[in-house]
Amino acid sequence: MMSLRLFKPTPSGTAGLIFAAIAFFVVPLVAGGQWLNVFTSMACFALAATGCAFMYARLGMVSLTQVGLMGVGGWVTLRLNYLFDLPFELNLIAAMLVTALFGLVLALPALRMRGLYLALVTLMAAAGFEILFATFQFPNGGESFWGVQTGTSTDFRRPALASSDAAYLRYLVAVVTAAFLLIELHRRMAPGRAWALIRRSEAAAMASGVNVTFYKAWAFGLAGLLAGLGGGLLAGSLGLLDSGTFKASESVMIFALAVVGGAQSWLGVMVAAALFRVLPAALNNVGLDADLSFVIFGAGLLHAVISAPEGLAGQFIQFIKSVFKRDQAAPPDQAQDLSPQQSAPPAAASLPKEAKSTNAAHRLEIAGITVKFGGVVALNDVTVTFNSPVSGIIGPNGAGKTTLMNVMSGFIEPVDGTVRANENQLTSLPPFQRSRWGLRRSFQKEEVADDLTVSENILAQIDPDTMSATEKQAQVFRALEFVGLAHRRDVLGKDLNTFERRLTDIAKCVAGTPRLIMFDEPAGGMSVAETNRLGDLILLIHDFCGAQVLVIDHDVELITRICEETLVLDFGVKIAFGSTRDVLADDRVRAAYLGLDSEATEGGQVDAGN
Amino acid sequence: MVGSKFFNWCLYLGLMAAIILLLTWGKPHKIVGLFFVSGLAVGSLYALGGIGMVVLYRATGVLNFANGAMGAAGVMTAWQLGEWGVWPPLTWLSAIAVALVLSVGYGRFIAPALAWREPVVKAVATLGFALIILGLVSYLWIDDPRKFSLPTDKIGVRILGLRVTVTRLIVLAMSVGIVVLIHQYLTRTSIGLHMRALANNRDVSALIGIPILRTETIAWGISGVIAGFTGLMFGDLIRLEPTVITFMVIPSIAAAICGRLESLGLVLIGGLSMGVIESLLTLSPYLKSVRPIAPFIIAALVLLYFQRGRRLSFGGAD
Amino acid sequence: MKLALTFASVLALGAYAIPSQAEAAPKCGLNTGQAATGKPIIVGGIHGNAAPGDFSASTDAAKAYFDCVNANGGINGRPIDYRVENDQWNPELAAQAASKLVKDAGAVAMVGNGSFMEMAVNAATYKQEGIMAMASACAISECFESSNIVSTNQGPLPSNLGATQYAQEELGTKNVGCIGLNIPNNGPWSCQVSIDYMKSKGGDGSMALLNPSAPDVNSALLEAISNGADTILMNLPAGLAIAVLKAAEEQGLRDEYKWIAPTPLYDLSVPKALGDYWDGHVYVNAELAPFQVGGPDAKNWIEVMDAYAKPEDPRDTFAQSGYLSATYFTKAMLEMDPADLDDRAKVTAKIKSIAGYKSDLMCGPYYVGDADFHMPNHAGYMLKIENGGFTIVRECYEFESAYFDKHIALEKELGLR
Repeated sequence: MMSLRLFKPTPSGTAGLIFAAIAFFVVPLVAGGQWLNVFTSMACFALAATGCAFMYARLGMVSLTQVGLMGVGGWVTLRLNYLFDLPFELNLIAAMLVTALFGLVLALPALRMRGLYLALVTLMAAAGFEILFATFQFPNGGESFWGVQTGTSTDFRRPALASSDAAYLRYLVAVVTAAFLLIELHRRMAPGRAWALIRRSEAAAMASGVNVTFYKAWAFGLAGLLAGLGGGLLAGSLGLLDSGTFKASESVMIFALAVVGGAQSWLGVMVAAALFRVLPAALNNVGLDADLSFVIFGAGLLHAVISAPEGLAGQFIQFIKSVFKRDQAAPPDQAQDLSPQQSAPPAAASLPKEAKSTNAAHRLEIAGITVKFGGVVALNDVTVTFNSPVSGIIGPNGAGKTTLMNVMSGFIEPVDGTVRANENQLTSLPPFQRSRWGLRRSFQKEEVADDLTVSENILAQIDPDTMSATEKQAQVFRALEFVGLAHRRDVLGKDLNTFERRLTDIAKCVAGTPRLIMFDEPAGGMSVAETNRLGDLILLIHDFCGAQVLVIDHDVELITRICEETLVLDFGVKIAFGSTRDVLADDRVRAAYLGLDSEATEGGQVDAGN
Repeated sequence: MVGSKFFNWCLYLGLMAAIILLLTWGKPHKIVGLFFVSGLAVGSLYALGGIGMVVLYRATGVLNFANGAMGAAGVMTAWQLGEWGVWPPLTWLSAIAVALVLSVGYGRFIAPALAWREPVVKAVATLGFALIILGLVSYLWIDDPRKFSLPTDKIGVRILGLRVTVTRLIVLAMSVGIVVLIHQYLTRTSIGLHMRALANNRDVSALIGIPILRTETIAWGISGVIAGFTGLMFGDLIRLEPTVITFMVIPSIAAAICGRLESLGLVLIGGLSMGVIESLLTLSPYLKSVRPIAPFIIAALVLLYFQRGRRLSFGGAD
Repeated sequence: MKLALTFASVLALGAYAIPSQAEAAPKCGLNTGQAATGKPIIVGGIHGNAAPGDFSASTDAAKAYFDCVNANGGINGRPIDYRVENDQWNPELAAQAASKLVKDAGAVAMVGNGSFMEMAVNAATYKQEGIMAMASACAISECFESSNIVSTNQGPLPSNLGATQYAQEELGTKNVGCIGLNIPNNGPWSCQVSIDYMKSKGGDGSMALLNPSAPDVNSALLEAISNGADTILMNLPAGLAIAVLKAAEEQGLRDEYKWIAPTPLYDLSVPKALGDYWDGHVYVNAELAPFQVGGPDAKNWIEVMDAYAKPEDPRDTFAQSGYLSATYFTKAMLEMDPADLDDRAKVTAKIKSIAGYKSDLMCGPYYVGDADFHMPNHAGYMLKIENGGFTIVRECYEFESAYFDKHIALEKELGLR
């Protein structure tokens, strides 16, 4: 079932394959010499554009080095061509690998950066590549390491399969199609889900067991691989390269055009590559100044950024969809969404119950945790041991509740202290490994990836587990049934309401083999009925999967109802701990916390979040 | 916090001094002087470009890639008017006016549509604006050898054995002067206070009634004037070619990065040191051919240094 | 600004056109005065026009001449259909342009090409397709060292050498610093021969290479000086050479060094752009006859330009060169059997057989020959920027270098020496 899903073509994918078939069979027959060359260039730059497009669409990362990396691929291809007598394809593969390595090196700074700073560091890299290419030039058959000789260049070997221009274009169409399929395969598998979570929030991704470092580096490597491929193929089409092709401004331009075209789809990437290489040739053919293409690019970019977030391709696809909607009663993709639901997965009842539910020895030991932000002490020597299936943490805003949870997740390094759960030392593990150990959590804001379906969101959590694909699907379904979202499992994250998003978060926490689940204000912003439903669910978690549960909330009524033990924090200090009833009766607690509560309605929500 | 900032300054200055010492060790003073002064001149241009960008970024959250293009449009206009025989001071003012109009026009009519997007999207949008300006400018002024001169080019003084024109001294003085002036403006005036509030937190600023549109328009205006002046200086001191001036924005960004996109003083120091090191690299037989790479490597290292403590970021927070 | 340019060229038109139109109509091809109406002969041309330089002057002038030929009987009654493409300094566009002209349109020859890029990309294509390119504005080694390209202009190598030779003989140069672009088949290739020349004369020389994208030309200038040069050779496009001279002016270096340059600086707008400071201090080599020489071909060129070119098309060395290539091509075609004009192989053979065409615009005879190298033009004039214009300081002289040994051998073989 899994593999069928993996290879099932979408309508857009089918259209893409038809487009590729036309490009392969028809275009080389009808295009003249000039247009063969134009389309060849376009295909090479489409490969580079794919790289920055998927990074932008899937991870939200702006890479402004793609054309510079193409230069690296081209350089390696040319150098090897003159160095050894190997076939073109071997040189090309070497070029791809070397460029992927450059991409990975570039990823090192990116691991800590996002957004504008990441874009800037890639821009600096592109500017550096520009200088290097301008200084050392591209190999043309010379002897030294740089392979440059003054005077005329030596001949270049094209692939044996594709020595004519038409055959070379076919060769490229096949390569570009394969590249698109590679990206699509990533999207449908664990890396795609991990990327979607990273894009949503790196913290949430780590809390879901995603090795953020690895998957970010992987994305850069993949983009580098594609750029290297494009550069090598460009070198193959011309037989020589010029440093002017790989300026930083070109890298910036190809990214800009990927946004104009639409980074989300193959069509957008093709539009970008066409704007980059076909539009100037077309303008030239009708005798218009090529400078005007800059004006068109610029206007297109402003339009795309302001009013067409999915680019020209997105607008076109919307248009096609609206035409189909008018024609048919039900939109086609919705009809497809219904079909998998009919083939019912194994019922939850038939699954073996988790062994851990019988293993009732819960012991979460927090010992001497101290956290400082600059000069401010956020947590001061907090020591507590939770033994109950469901425990609570309360305290006024700024008391250090979320900070304590972040320490347990591994997001904040304490100055001192340890966290042990069931005799396992957690303090030394990085966040994603704590998640893989069985530490799950939700955040004050629901962290559901918009561009994944509900079941994919949950699958992302158990991707690192060593279960078979079928077993994982069954786990996902079981978790969804538990929270009551099974009927919504193929809906995209962005189409859920707030309560459904929160339920998805809970399903993520209970899927697989969780050992400790932490909820940060699960009832924040929920209605009374929804809060009750959440309370019921949390009480059932222990029986469902055997995990110990820790809840932060301001809703004292909820805490009273579900937690056996409760910790009270104030200004980073433990002021009380014990059975919830005793703790709430404590005078210090009433003074510090409930006393502040006078303006809030009794038992209602004090605060929606901090 | 103040202590660590001071430490960063000292560390940067110390490192730069060490590199400079390493490059110039054992070289004749006369030659070192020549390259040092020449590098200072280029560096002050980098710094000037970076300062204009940081002033705008702090107040509006927009890193303006069109900074160079606006300057290019300005200086080309000045050249054209000069060709038509317009009184020179008027042509200089026209360069600044053109950049001002372009900057405020974008800030007033296009930027508000993107006010709540992430910084990187805002930056990408200005790139679109840069392309439009560049396309139009290259269409209007077809490629041709041109030269733009200011009367101050003819007057010079000798520093460290190198004749330095008054124009270059003006650039250096202006880059220092602008840093001081903007600092005074931000600390002494109410609009300056508003800008600082916007730089700290837009959402809160809007809630407490800061006149966002007015404050931002003034910031766009100030950065437009600086861009026009920078363009004029680029055209005079580097080359009068729209494409070259437009993409001088990249080393300017490198200077801006040195100031972490917020500290004008560091932008100035960063720009100057980049120019000097780039120029002094000519003295190294191995590195002289790749010397223009210096600003980008320095900027990348500074970015890495500033980001060293960061481990993760939550959704949408950049 | 386009508007301003038109305005300026109307003035220029006044200077050139009005007196010349009063004099005589230009002479082209058969000079019959009858428009050619037969089946067109397709001829291609590629120029590079984008930042950092405009090389379209050569194809503009070739087009003007072919239009004139078509209005005057064409090639024995058949007009030339001259199609021009722009490579925009981009290797991909250069390959596309060649495919379009050579493969798609089936041109029988290429005439007037001017580019930094096109020849390197397309030299192999021309050879493979068996077509001859009679280029006019070449700057890179491929133009002069491949079998199917011949250029009327000299390119930087001979022009640099000519300037260096003059400086060594007349200005007392001992050490030349060549500032060139860091493009292997342009800067290092063309600087090296001048350095070798200085060494052969007991002097010395060095290169300071400039990244085309580097904003700061001053470091290159300082590098040349710190290498011990007494003469600065600016082997650069005009815009960059002006930037170097400006940096030198700022530092008051004019009188300490001698300033020489190859042909790109021979442009009537340069003395004005440089201003009074440089007047009388810059020496420029010219690879074709300077405008004031004014022989019959020089006059006819101006007349053709005035009658058939756009007023804003430049009248510079590259335009002369494009005009010359077009006249040589026309002359060769008129000598052919009209039945063979559509046969590319025969046209190529005819072009390769050209030997001994003469013009007052060029110092030596023009020839092609069947060789893997072509450089018919390796003699020139030396000029000095003076009184806001150029004055001739040395008439036609041959440049001395071992590089030309094979060319001289070929010329002897063709009976031209």
